[in-house]
Amino acid sequence: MKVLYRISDLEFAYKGEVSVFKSLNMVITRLGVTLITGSNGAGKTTLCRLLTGLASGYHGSILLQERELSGLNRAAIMDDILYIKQELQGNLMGITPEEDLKIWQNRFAEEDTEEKRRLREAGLAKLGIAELKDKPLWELSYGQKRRSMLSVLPLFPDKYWIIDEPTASLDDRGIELLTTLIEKKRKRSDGVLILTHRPGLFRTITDYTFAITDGKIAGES
Amino acid sequence: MKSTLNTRTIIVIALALSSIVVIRQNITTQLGVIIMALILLVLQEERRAIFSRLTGRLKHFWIAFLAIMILQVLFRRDGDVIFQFHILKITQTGIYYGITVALRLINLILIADLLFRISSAEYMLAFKAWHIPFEISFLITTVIRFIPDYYRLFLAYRETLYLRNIEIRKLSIKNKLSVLVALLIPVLTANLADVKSRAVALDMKAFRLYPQRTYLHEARLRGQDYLIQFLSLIIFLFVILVF
Repeated sequence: MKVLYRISDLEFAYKGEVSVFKSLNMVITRLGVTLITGSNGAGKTTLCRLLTGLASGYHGSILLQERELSGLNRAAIMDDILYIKQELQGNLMGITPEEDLKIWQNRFAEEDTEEKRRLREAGLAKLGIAELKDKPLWELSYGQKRRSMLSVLPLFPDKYWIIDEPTASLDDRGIELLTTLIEKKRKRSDGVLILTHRPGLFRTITDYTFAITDGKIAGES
Repeated sequence: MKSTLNTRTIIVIALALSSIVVIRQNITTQLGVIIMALILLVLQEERRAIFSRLTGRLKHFWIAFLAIMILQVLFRRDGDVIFQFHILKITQTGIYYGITVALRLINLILIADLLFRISSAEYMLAFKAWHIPFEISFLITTVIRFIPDYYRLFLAYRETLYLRNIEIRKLSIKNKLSVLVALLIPVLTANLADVKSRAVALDMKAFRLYPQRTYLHEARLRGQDYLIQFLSLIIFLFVILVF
């Protein structure tokens, strides 16, 4: 069992607010689909932010591949992790879905290539929005924006995916396409972390489940 | 500590202080306003939270302060000369105005901080108490809230860059400009979408259909609010007319 994250006695509170986590302990493996559930406000998004270095100032320990996360720089974290946030606003850049993917790939520093363009088109097609590639982002519906955000996943198959509430505003077809992507990654002996309050949608493809209640892991299976 | 002053009191103080800051251009007044604004901020919330936020903001602006200060020092030619080298002349007046302008900018940031802490609903209640028509209140509130909303959105996009492992510092100027364009367009469209959704929300609440609106909460003035508003007026008049 290859450990990706080892979380020990994690305590965290936003400035001047009540604790989100009180002595949270868990191990997230690099392989398999891990599901973290919890009711609204349980701290799922906060956990994502901590795991990706977006939030800091925690007590206890978060080890990423056995190295303390707080001591790692951004590149070291994001080289291996692909985090798709829950919010639609502030997650898509550029003007069109294709341009957003182009920014993911080239990061304003690399040249675009025909191969990359083909990958982008395939990514959009896998989420069923190939025909929307040149449509302005502000003209898309919430569901289409969510699909556009998720279409980056197939572009980075080797990274570990962390997806926060991926089914929000997705229709049944969208959920089916996403599940297919995750299942394929799982079959390649790779891993995904999904944070959701609708665990039933991923029941058939889940390997590990954790439930967060009152700032702790209340259940594990 | 929770906010202890009524929104109207904070608006009155902010108006008085910002007017003093703009009208009276001397170091003593600017320092006095800085102290008053800090006391007011401390009365509103936890000291630690204020100072970490303010130092963060000032850290972003210090280069602008310094640049404006240097420009004032270099281009004010009147007053006693302290140092001269060819056309470069530094005068006492230049230094004085340089410091004053930098302090004035600090003051404006402190006063803006006071106003940005107030929510849209609190502004609406305050304007309602002053019998300002709802349409106008809504417009003013939207404008006042625009900057903090824009700032929040900007922070969200900064995170987006982080998640994509984009390091702006390492990019060429041309690519930095491309980042700016790629950021500005979604930020602007998100703001426009926000205004649109507010307009829809207003329509859903039958905006302007009834001349008299009802409110769940009412922001009442307490003794301390009357006292502080009165003192603000007195201080304002004293500084403008006497000092």
